[in-house]
Amino acid sequence: MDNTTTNHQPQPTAYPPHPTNTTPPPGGAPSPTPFHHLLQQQQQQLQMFWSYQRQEIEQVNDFKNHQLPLARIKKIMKADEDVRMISAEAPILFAKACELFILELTIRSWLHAEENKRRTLQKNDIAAAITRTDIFDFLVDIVPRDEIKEEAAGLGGIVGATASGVPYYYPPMGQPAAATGGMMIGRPAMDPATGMYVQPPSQAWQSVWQTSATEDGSYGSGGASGGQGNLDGQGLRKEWMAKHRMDVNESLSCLKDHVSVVEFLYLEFLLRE
Amino acid sequence: METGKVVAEAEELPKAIVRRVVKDTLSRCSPEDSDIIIHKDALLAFSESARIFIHYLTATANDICKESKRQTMNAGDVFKALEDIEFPEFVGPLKVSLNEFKRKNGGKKEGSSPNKEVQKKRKTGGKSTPKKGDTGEK
Repeated sequence: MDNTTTNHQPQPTAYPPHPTNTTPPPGGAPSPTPFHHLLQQQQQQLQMFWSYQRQEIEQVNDFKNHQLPLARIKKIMKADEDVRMISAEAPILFAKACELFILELTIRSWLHAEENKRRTLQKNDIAAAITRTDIFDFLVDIVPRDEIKEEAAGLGGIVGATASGVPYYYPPMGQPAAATGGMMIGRPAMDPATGMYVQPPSQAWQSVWQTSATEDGSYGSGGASGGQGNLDGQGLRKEWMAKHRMDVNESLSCLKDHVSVVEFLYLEFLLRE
Repeated sequence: METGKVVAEAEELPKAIVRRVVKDTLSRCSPEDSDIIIHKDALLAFSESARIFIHYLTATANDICKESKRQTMNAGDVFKALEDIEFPEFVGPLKVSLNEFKRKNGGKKEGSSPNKEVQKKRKTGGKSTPKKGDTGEK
């Protein structure tokens, strides 16, 4: 039983470990060794059987899980007109990559929920994960501004009140963004004025983050390639977002935030298990 | 600048599968907390995020592919793309997963060469029923 699967490492006999000498034999005899011994054996066998079954299932499930339907993934890929031919392996890789991505997003969102002592995972947890994590910049369109504002308010009120939860719309261009304290709006594709998508505060935060990241041996999302690689990644994101922006009403700039070293270590631990 | 080339179709990932991945992850994050509730909006957000991720990764891999003057995006492009977009930690598990997949399906194909022929015929016929990992066709 080789378990080269990465995510689904079966826990050793997770089933409730029966204490092996619980049930006294019904006869009530003082020490019916053979029968008792047999019972023990059976219980052990049962445990082993279930443990094996579980591993089997998890192995099969690994492929069931990463069968995000390949055809649909391919359709999503081909929505980009630029894309021509895709090898047979690509959708398989994408399916698994998606899974890993969702995993990572889930963990970070859950951290936020935990911080707020909630056992319900909400959209603003995801929003928080997105704004906190540099490599999730490309997702900033997904969550409406009000969600992100909640996160901001928690961090020190960069943004105004958002109690009503109604996203308000800026006119697409010409808005004096600087006036509102570092918030930039508009779509880079249409707004030459701002010209850039990633904002100074984010970069400042980024350098802080990098410093702490390198301490724990490069989480891999920026620490590994040093400053250079990170900038390239950033440049790529900018470029990509400028070219392939979804049609969303507005975007919100990244907020200053920090992710503590502890969180990183924790995440690293989880992802490397 | 340029027109957005991505057609935002309604192609979404199946909710059930997304939900399962999230649930599995949560149950590993906090095994004692077996009943973490996932808000409906949150699930949608996960789905959307994953979809955008596919777009993002595809675009990056595609650029790499074109740079190498090839027509068909292959596994190497995807791996390189992952590093470019700063998800290098994905590469390892992906390789393992791909090898597993090949192993499991390579056996099947080898044992049934007439099947292969049939598949080929179907493809040249213009109709490709995607078995597992259909090759790229326009």
